[in-house]
Amino acid sequence: MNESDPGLARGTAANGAGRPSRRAFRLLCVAALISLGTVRTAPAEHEAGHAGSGGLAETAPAISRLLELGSGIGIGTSGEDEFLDPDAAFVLSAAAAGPDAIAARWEIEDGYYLYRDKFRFRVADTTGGSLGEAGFPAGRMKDDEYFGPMEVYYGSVAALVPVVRAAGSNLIDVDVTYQGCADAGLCYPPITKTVSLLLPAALADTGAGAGTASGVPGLPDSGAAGALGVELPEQDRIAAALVSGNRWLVILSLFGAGLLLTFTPCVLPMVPILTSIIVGQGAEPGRVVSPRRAFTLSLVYVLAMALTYTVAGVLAGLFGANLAAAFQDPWIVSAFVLVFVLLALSMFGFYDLQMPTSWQAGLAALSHRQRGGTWAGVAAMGALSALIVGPCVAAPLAGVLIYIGRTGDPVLGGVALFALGMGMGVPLIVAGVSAGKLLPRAGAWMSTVKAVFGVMLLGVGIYLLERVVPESVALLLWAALFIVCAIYMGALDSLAAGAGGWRRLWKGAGLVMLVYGVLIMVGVAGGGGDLFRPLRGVALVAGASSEHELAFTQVKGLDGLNAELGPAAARGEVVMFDYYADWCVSCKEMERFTFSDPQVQAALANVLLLQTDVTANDDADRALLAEFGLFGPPAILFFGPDGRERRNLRVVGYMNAGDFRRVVERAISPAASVTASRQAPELES
Amino acid sequence: MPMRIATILSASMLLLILAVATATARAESHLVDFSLPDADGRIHRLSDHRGKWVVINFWATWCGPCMIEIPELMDFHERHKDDDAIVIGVNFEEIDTPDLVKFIAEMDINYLVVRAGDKPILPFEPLKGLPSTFFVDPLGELVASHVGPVTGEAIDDFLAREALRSE
Repeated sequence: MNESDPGLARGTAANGAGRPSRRAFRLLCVAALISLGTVRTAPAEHEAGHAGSGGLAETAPAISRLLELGSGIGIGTSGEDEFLDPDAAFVLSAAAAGPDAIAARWEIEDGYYLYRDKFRFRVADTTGGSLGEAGFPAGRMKDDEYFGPMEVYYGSVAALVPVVRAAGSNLIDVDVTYQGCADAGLCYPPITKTVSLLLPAALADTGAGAGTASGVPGLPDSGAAGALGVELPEQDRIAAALVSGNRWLVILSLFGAGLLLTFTPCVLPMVPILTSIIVGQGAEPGRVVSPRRAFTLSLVYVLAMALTYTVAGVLAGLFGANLAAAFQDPWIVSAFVLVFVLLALSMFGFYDLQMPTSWQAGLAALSHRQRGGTWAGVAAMGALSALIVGPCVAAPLAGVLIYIGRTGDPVLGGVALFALGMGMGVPLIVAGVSAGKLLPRAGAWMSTVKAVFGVMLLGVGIYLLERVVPESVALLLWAALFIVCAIYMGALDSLAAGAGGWRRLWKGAGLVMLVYGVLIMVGVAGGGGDLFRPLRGVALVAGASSEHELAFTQVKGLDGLNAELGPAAARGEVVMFDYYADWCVSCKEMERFTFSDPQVQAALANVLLLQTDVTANDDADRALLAEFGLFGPPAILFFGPDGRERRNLRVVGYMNAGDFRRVVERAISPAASVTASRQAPELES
Repeated sequence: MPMRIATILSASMLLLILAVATATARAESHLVDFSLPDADGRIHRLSDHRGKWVVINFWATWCGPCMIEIPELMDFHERHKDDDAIVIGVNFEEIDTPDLVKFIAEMDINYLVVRAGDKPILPFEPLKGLPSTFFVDPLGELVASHVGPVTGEAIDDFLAREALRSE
């Protein structure tokens, strides 16, 4: 974003020396492993051939068949064990330090030092962009016995490197090279590490420039970023934390994110599924679910779910597959819906009456008799639930998946996704255990609870089905569910004189459901309606006007988008670009609740509205998603009058009208076109 | 009963595999060799120097401790080269040939210097840092290694001990 400053743009730090030594280190690691393996199989040899110092040698397994010369001849202070591995002696961390700078920091072990003139920063071939001159603090002058006075760093050192990012990309891979020695007389070959960084988008207001840049390396300027709360999209924040942070912190924060995710509408439906499994077990005659069993069942379920996330995440990262589309295949969804319906029917007690004809019922009976089958069944449910819910938690997952794809570090990525899954699972475990505890041995209410679970399961089934069937069909199913439930709840039964308060409440609730179900049916019959506003678009009252919808220009593929973006930039127009798919529930929610808002529509009056329908998920669609590092809809991108994407305003997932209007206002404000340009602030180490 | 037979069978299979692996590892780890070019491009084989101890010193021009150590090695080489031991320096860095030639001339290094680039050579592992020194006995077996600087005196002591041990 810094074309205005060519002095910064062409860095002098580029240096080719890094790559071979990286290979060397990889070789070194492999060789160390090989030698370790070899040594383990022949431990007796050095004892026989060179008796005398075998005990010492065993402390260093990689060279255990060799004599430790230092120890053997009395030097003592400079044996193999005395020196740390370079990665332990010098611990590098790096992070974005604002939209156009990265910060690198080394923690240096006592007795070790890094040379100031050996640092190199170079943009890796994988991403574009360029780097400016790195800013280092003054070092300590060390009087080298051979080289003379050298400027070195002890303890720690931090550097700030100005970045000129590649057009349209916030990702930058940087090869960082450094070299240092130990006071005890050992020098490490130059070390090159590649760090993948996600830069926050340039801040709109230039006032947030040099003066306010955060003093803490790696933290974007929070003062300016806090203004709207969407400066750094969620997935960017997560990716940035993953790249820069301490691994445990990352894993912990993803665990926390998973916990929070549970309370999104997408994940919450899983709670009744799990609980219903346990309740189903407990309802077996003569069998009581102990909290311990509930816990282990839940744990198996959660582990399977978390492992599925791990596998799915790593695979998605490696192959760049479109998770959402793959798992929203109509056949797969239909199969899941069928499972839910079957489960719901068993909750209603149908299987108690007409026992095993279908294989599901047989399997259920089998799993009830055999413990092992039960675990496997629960595990399968957990894994399947992870797959079906995955697309719902698109935004946070996207950050992790981008990271995996960019770094090719499936280990950290896998662990991170596992932590996310476990975080999502802990409330499930709690729910599962407490449901088991709350269940008394028997009781008339038992069948009601089962029925409620059945209804919930049917609701989940319809919710899943919404993605693959016409909206009106789904709505009719909802209406049917509401009405039939209401009948079961006694909405149309007359209350006995002197009926208890609970019965009256129950009937009242039933009536509400009945009315709501009828309203949905009326809405569908009138050619409109949706689940939350049944009569939307139905002109029951004279003068009721149907809301007008946003007029999107449809584009297809990257070429289609560019064909519109070019002229728009020429006219200086702001562009909003919406990824849409028929199966994308959030997209539909955006249409219903956000795009329909008059204030949002007013804000978008002078914005060119582009939309692409990626329902087909063909090559062109995938290319268009990949171009912006997206894994699937929903996503809304804004392009400034200069034709560049305003990454900080990216909206992933559902956003309500008020917040969305502020994002739009942000996008169309004149300040948005001013590209922030600033010098790297001085950084104290 | 069949279970027990299967267990015994698999256990003996495992033992057999282990035994073969051990024997192979012993045979392979016995002797070491390398072929590396000097600054003029001539290839030198380590095994050409069997019959004497070979002190193999990994170094680089950017390595301060190596610079301190090289005169020690030159002195050791001078004292032993016609008798029982020689030094071979392995330059461990990517460096232009003229720079290396110039450096060797300026240091007046009196022993053979070969080039490894910056890739470690099996079995001279692990190469944690520089300087690192490896000791190959007259039979061509790698018997010792040392990380960090060594002195000529320390090597003398080591050879004396080795001589005592083999008697």
